[in-house]
Amino acid sequence: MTNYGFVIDNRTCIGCHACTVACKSEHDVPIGVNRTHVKYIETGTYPHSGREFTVHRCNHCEDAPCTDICPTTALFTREDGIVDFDDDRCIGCKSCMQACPYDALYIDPNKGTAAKCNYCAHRVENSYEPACVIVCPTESIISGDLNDPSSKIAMLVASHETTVRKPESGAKPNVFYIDASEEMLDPSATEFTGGGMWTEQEVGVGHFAKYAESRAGEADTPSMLVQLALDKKAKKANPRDRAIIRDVMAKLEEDAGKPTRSYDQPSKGILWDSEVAGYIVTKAMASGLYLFMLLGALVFSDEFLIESNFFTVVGAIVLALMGLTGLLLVKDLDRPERFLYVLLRPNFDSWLVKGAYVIGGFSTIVVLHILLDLSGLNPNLHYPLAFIGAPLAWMTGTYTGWLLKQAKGRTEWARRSSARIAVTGTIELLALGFLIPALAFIQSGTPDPVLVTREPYMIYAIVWGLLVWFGFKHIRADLRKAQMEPLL
Amino acid sequence: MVVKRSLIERIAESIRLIPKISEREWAHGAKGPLRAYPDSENWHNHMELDANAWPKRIERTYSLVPTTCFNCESACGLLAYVDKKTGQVAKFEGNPHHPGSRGRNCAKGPATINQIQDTERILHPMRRKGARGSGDWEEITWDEALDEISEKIRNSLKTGAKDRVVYHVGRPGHEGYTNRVLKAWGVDGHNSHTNICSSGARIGYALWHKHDRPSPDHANAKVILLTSSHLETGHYFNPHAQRILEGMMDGAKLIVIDPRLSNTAAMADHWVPTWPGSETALFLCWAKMILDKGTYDRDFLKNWVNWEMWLEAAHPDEPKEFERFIELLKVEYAEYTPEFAAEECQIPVEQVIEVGEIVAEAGSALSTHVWRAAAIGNLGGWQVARALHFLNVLTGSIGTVGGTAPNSWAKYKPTLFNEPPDPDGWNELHFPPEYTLSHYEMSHILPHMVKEGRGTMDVYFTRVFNPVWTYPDGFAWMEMLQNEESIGCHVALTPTWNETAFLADYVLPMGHASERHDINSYATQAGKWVAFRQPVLREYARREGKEVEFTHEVNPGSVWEEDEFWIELSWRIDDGTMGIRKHFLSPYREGKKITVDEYYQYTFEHVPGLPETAAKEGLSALDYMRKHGAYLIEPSVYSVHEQEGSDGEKVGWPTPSGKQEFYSHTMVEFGYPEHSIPHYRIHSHVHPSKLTGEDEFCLLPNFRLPQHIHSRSANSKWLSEIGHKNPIWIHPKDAAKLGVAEGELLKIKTEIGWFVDKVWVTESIKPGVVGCSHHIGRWRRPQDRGNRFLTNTVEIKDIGDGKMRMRTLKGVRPWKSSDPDTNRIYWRDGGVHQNLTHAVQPDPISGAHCWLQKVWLSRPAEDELYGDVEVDTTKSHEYYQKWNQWAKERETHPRGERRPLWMKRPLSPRPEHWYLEKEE
Repeated sequence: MTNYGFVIDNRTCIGCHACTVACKSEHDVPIGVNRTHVKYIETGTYPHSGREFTVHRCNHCEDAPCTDICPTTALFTREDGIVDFDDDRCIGCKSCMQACPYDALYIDPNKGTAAKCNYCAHRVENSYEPACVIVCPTESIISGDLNDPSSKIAMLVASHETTVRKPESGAKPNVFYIDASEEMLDPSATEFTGGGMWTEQEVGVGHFAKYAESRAGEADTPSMLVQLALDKKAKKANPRDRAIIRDVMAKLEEDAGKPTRSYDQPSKGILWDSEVAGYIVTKAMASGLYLFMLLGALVFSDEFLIESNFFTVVGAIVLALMGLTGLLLVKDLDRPERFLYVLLRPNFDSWLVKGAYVIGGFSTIVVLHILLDLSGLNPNLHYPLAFIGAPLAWMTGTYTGWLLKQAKGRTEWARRSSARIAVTGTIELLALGFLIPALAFIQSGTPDPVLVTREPYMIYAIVWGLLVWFGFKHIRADLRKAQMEPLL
Repeated sequence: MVVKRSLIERIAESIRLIPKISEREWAHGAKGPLRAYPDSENWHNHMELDANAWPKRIERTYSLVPTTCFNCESACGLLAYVDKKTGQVAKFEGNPHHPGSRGRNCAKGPATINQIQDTERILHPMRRKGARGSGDWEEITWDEALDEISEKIRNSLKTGAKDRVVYHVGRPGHEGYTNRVLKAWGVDGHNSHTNICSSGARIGYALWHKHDRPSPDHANAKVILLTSSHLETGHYFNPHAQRILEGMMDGAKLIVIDPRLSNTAAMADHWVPTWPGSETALFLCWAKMILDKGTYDRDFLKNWVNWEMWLEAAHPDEPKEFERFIELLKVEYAEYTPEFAAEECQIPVEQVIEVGEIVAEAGSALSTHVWRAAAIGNLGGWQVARALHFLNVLTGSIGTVGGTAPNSWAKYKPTLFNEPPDPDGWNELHFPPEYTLSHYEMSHILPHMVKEGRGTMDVYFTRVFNPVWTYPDGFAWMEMLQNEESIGCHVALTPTWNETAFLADYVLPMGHASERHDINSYATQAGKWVAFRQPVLREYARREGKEVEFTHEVNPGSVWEEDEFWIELSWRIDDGTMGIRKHFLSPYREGKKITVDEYYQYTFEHVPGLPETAAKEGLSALDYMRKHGAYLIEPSVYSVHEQEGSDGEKVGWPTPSGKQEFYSHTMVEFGYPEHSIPHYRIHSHVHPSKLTGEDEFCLLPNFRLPQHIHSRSANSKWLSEIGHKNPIWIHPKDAAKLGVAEGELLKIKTEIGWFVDKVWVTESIKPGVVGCSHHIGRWRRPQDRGNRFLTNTVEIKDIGDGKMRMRTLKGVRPWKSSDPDTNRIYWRDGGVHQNLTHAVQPDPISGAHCWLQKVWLSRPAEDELYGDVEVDTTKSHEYYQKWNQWAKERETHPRGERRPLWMKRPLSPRPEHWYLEKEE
């Protein structure tokens, strides 16, 4: 079976950027984003200094992490090995960008959907080579069938020592480099101070292009990192955000003396930020509160439960939080109007889909609790519901950890163990949703879930608010930190 | 290839909950090995799937029309994809039938589409409304433009002046066509950019064999020695880079001489970071090594070098024997020891020897090139080319397989349909008498000569030429162009706005690569080809059976092309009494005005072998070129000097001696006896002995980037995106000494002014030398237009005492237009215009501008901001006079000759004008 790949021959690549421009021309790739680009690094000290160039792009991986995480199978691997995409299916969730170990995807600002090198599949259809291959003055980009031993590419791979970028990603990339140095292929091996030899890279692009556009004419901040870490929220930079940036800067300091990167594609910045941190918090609150509701069902008297409409009141709060979760989830999409695709064009390998179904299931159970409560039917029916609801609630509160783990482009997330994810998630949902109402109940002995209405519950409300706020900040900081990885 | 869809999706689609998209036709994949280009038989009907709509299958049908790139001079082949539905060019790929570029391009080729679609391009002829430079323009018709300009030219010509109508060209082309026009007008009116470009090296080559440029056969070389950066720029970047890498993959060693680690140097087996200007010493040392090791080509030297003349002149008492010549040669060059070269170049002596041994063993497969670089950088830079060629002479690697040939061997000169007589006059503003050996027009000192009162112009055409920005001392150009006494009428022929066009009276939009005619032939390899630049929409219209009279009918707006413009203008200049029209008559239709199609029909009918090849396809020569875009005249060109000429003698060399002139009697006659043979007699103006202060450095301001072309790529968004600032390259030790860190500001003071730029601290530059790229730092004043991808908005102020000040008001900014990308510009830094602060430094011998600048570096004061430029124009004129004096002091005219009669001169006037007029 055909298996298309590329060989990048660094013995002959002269760093001319022709491939970059030919690709932009072929696919009308907007300013700020690239399907392929030529990275420059500088090594050594005068007079033994050197400069290396190499071409980076989608690796058309055999085990592509982007296709696993894509919730709608907008990204898919073809039988001939090409990892292609269908922008009609894409919802702009950016999970592929988090999953790709090679930073090969971007959000097309014209379409709001993910895009990347697709091996010029539209040309392959008529048996033509990709645009970058034919333009290359020195024939340093070789395309073809890796499985055909008589092809030029297969012969090159067979007769030369080749390397790939990040072999440890496990993605089995199909872009092979001849004569590329380790410093060239490993992004963390080079220092990047934010500017290039001939370029500056101030603002996150792609997904952020819409902010850049709305800010047209403004902003002269020279630091890419500051821009990226904070972007549109930069104006409200608080000490905590600044601390993150300081950490990153300090890391850069430590790296001084390493080879420097003098050109790379503009960074895409922080892709998952307040919206994602926000819904992690709201659904943790919802699931914790649901567990509190079950606890209440166990300990409160049936009379109280019925009289106070306990399930309806708590359930309504849980539902409201889930509604908020849904809103934030949708808001984070670059194509929010397509949010239903997650459920209706599902890729069940994706944790986004699993999560969406969990959220859907959990919300349904909560609705059933409320209906049951309002119907006046036998309250004992809450127990079988709880039997399904409790694990769904727990999954709702914790699943994002596995989604992040599926984002293989962020090693910090990817290497987290399931045990750790389970424990952290559980702590989060308990701390954010369960702890305060439970404490309030223990302290007062009053089974009133609406804590904020009366003294002395105001204190609890304030503490709860603070807990949620700091929880949010902590989670967002954690998200940002891992996403700084490609910026380094 | 169908991706499985879930049941849920199928149900959701069937009840229309979500759009039905999963039933589309899916990709089939390729039907065999992938190929590069469609067969040319299908070029008028080529189907491609829409990349943007994919994986939806939207078929687009294109007519593929070949043309050539108009960015750098290489004229690589392009294939325009004309979308048959829109009738517009959708993209450019390479032309596989082009023998030089072979279907491949650099970044600037495919970026042509940006230039075509630039939302700010000039679409109609413009005439200024207010004062010159006021930025107030009105659109006019071509008729108005032609009538008004032709009248001005007519008036000038009728005074009998031969030097007051001038065509000043930046990007040349047209292979003799424009000179033909000027000859038809009877003016010595050709001016060029060559003296800020290649002419430093040209005189070095011409002294040897009249041919003034090299054509290395890199693909077959054993050793490739570059004093250039041909893996990223220069003539002919893409074609040469292809062949250099071919040679290297075949085992050739690449040696690159450059004080800066260029991309080319980074690819080299040996990067030799010489001190600027010391290259001559290095090459002469290697010459000595070749002599000492005995690896010289005895036969070539004996047969093809005028060694006897040298013995006669320098050693009249010695026997005229070749062996004695070699002995004396060794004595002559004994001073160029590796130790001497190492000290001059400031490199380890081990490197001098190691690399020298590689050169010495190259034999006849030594391909060399010096392009701009050291030759145009230094006082005496021409010595570099002369010494480099000496290595080829010694190794006998001239015109050999893998060696270095004269470029004229591989360049086709078209036959013109009618040759008007040579101009009856000599333009002293172009070739002033004191620069007897200047190989080209003294264009960089033009404003100073005008200021001195040496002349003025009635009509001055600038063609794709932007001296205000590209030349040194731009304020001198602004002064000249703004003075209506100096320049009666300034017509800018340009595809895009530029700093010079801002100061024009008429701005006439001329087409980009795919919007004009031209003929190209360049020495990209040891072979000879000719290519056709054609307006692709005109050819598309023809293929579709539509008649087009003028190219501007099919171009965007009313963008035109020079070829047709010159015919129409010339026709109108002649009121019937001037004898101009007779040079623009059709060779095919008696008494009728020639059309551009007829012009190229005539041209291609006279290309050797082309009509016969075309006939095999059942085509005329012109139609063959319209279809294929290029023709290979001779697949290989070697050892032309050994061929038999029409007289039965070997062709030899077009010098007075008929040989390679190791000894130049011309130099002796023209007053430079110390340069009778290759030597290192001139120290550069930036020689270390002249930079003694702690803060004194050499500025390397003339290197180029692979993704830009002078001041003509600011209209390309994709090229601007990959290069938009030009920091000062500085070595970490020097940065530490000056107390500047990466990104901080540095004040660079030159002989006539200063500018403030950011620094890029890098190990890639020789300590003591700082570098700044030639391309970036474009500007416009608030009232000007165009090129916003790469221009800062600046304010220019006369601050008194002859001092001019430029300040950046605003960097690059996004803006809203019909192209959403203009609003996505994420860079703000448009760089700094350094050339304004460069003093003109005309080399007294070659006449070339010496680009390198002696600079004083310091941290800027509080009120000196990034992008600030200040120039003292009084000082700049005085400084010009100082250098000009050096030429005047040595001015010698044997037999009253203005310049050596055997050397080339573009647009040569009649023989009598080659002599100075006798004083009364």
